Amino acid sequence: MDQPDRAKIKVDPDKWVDEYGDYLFRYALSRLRDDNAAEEVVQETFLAGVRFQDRYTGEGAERAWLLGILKRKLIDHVRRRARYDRDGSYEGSNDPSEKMFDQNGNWKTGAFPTLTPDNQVESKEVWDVVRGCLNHLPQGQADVFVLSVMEEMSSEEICKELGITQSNLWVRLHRARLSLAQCVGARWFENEGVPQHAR
Amino acid sequence: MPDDRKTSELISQSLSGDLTTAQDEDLQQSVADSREANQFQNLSRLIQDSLSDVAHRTAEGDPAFCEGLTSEAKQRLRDSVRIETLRRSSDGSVNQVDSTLSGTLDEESALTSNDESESRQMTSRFLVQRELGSGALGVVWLARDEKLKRSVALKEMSAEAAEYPRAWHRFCREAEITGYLEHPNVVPLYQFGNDPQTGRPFYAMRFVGKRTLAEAIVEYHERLATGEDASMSLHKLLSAFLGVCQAVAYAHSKGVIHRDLKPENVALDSFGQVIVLDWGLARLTDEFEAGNLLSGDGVLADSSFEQTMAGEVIGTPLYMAPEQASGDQDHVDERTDVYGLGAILFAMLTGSAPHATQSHDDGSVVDMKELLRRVAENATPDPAEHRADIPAGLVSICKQALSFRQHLRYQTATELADAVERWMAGRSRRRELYGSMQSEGRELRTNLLSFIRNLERNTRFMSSLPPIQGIIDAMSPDRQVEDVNTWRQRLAVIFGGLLQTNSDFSAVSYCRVEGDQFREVVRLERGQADAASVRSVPASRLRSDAMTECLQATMDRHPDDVSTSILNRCSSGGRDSERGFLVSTVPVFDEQTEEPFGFVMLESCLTHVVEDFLQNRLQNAKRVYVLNDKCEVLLHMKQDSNQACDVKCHDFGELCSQWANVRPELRMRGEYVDEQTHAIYATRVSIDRDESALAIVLLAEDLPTIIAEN
Repeated sequence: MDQPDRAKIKVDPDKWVDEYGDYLFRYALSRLRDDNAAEEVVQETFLAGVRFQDRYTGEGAERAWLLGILKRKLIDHVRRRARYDRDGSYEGSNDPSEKMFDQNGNWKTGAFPTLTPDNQVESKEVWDVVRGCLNHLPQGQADVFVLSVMEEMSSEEICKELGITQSNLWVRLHRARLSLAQCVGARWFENEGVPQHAR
Repeated sequence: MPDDRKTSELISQSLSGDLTTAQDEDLQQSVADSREANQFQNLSRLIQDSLSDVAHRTAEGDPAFCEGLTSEAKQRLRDSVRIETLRRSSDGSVNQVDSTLSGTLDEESALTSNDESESRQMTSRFLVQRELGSGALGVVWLARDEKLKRSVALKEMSAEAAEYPRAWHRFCREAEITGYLEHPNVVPLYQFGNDPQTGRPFYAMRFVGKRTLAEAIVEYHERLATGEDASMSLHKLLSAFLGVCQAVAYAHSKGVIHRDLKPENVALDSFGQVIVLDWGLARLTDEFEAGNLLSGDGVLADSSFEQTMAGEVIGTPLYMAPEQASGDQDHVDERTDVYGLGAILFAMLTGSAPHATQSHDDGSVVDMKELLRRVAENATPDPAEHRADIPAGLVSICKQALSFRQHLRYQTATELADAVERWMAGRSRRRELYGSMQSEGRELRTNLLSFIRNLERNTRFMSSLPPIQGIIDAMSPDRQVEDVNTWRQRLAVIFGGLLQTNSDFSAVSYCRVEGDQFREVVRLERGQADAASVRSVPASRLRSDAMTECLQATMDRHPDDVSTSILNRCSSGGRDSERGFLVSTVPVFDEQTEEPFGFVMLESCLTHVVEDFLQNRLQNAKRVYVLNDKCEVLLHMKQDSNQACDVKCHDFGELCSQWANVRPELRMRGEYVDEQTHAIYATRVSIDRDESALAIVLLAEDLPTIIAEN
């Protein structure tokens, strides 16, 4: 079996946009929820690809190699925008539990709708609702939730990349779950055009 | 059993996959008992599963979950990949740039071959000469338009900025907006295109020189600091400001909001032309956007390429409106630019940016986030707190433009320009009036000086009359020729004639000095009740008194050496008066013995003199004060009255807040001209070879800041 000759492996950046542009953009957009940010990250990925094309060994597909760069750029972007996040500390603000629990720590009545969407519901339909709800979350909560759930990063990795403590991460994740559950529950049943099979 | 809040935390923990067995049992029990816990768990699972699913499917390339790139975005990406590839091509040097545009300039272009260089020069219309400046988006070069044989400014996108699609976007829109705004105060765009080799955009515009309004402001304040007459400089600055207002008003009429107005963005050419630059942060109003006149989105926010850093905050913080600093882009409108214009006016008047003081804490610079918070929350800066001598009218215009709340500002740039123009017109009128007031002051000074010389001349003449020596001879036992009374009567007749013909002289006397006492020999004085009547004081009423310091000084002088002094009250002859007096004295020597005998004294009431001079002639000054060396008020007259008013306060410094600035100037230069506020004029009248002086002060208005006492 022929082994790829490293010296002869050539990438073709001219084709990247047409071949991988949409793929990388969708990946980035699903994680960053912002068209401009996603385009910027894809561009950074391509430029880095051009600069470091010598490092492409030919092992694995070109697309996967670029995706590897993109994942790195995604984290860089999240870290960059966390620096300019105006919401400040998450320990002291943006706590949704006040709306859900009474003073004794018990659920308030009607914190969630009485029904839950059917597990068989189309993933795309849930995603559309979740995506909308993620946009209403403070960015610092949404970003760590996405890195944890979608990028499956460990809590140690997230803390290291974003320079936050474990307890801060835990608080953000929990608040994100509470807010999302409330938002998704409410939107699912209150919005017009709710899928009938979800009732 | 954990409470509900704790249960919710256990649910979160379980979804992260780190629950102990005991915790898991507790959780299952709680979820079974609580409908809300159950719902939270189900919804959270659904969300997590959905996200995991989307994560995997997007990684596999499933296009169902997100839309792909737009065709424009793809083109931008292709361009940037192509540029990067080009930059890395040939010898791999990433610095080999700008060849088409520069041709001859820098070291990098020298790396290219001669043939290439020649062909670029042939095909290139612009020959780059030198760098004028650089910003976040690009570099501005001075270039030569080879076709039209003229200098142009050429802005080229920097290689660094070219890596960011939004920077491309902004650069192009800056060019488009600049080209769209055709106004004498907006820089005209000559050409907009892409460098065929690098692909990066550039545009050529009129070269307006390097001088900006910021430099003009620094020069103006340096002049002020050295005490120069800077009134014309202020006038020029304000005229330039009107040009900026007009450019901004025009842009608003075209639906464009600048959003980054500051002195550095206003160029001034050598012929007084004002050009507003840097429309790179401009925003289009919705109405304009709907017209789809320009490409792309309306808001050009990009954290990588802002002068600012936090979130969607756009502009330069030191000149920024509160709504901009708070990142509230929905409320950014024309009035945000009105604030920017107010900020420029503030810089003109004070020499510093409106938020400059907020950018420091005890000498250390505050971070950007904190500065923006302060700008967004703190009240309107007050220019008067920076300089006390800013004309009140301009302070009030500036404060209104910088109002924290948008609805309290001028609603348009034109309204603000009108207010400044009105002030300038008023100032011209005020300046004219001030000029007339200066003339009044100078005329009064000339008249007073001439009066004093006349007083001295008459005093000297009186001392040379034959009866003066006749009285000395008559009083000397060894040379009695005629009776002393005969001589006294002769002298009284002449003295009486002097007072009759000079209504401003109030008394004249001839005194003999014996030891530390003087004794009046002859005295003629004007009647207090009837100024027209002149009487000779009878011998029985003639006064004898101790020599004052002033009279002693007279006796130390040589013959004919007249001295004049100012007295708050005239002490001669026991006829005291509260009003100021000018008194001229000359020593008298016995011609036989050449020893000092006494003195002749001529007195004049200052009030009468000044009243006479100003009778119906005070047209422009609202008030006139005459002060002595100690700044005590000797005389005070109002415009609408032909008579001097009562002097309530003797220290003028207590009346006039500006006096502390005026007094040293008056001492040094003999005159104070108030170029800033046109409120006060003062001049010095030297008396007795500069040993003492009067100050004449004229006030243009009864402003509360000037007159503490009405």
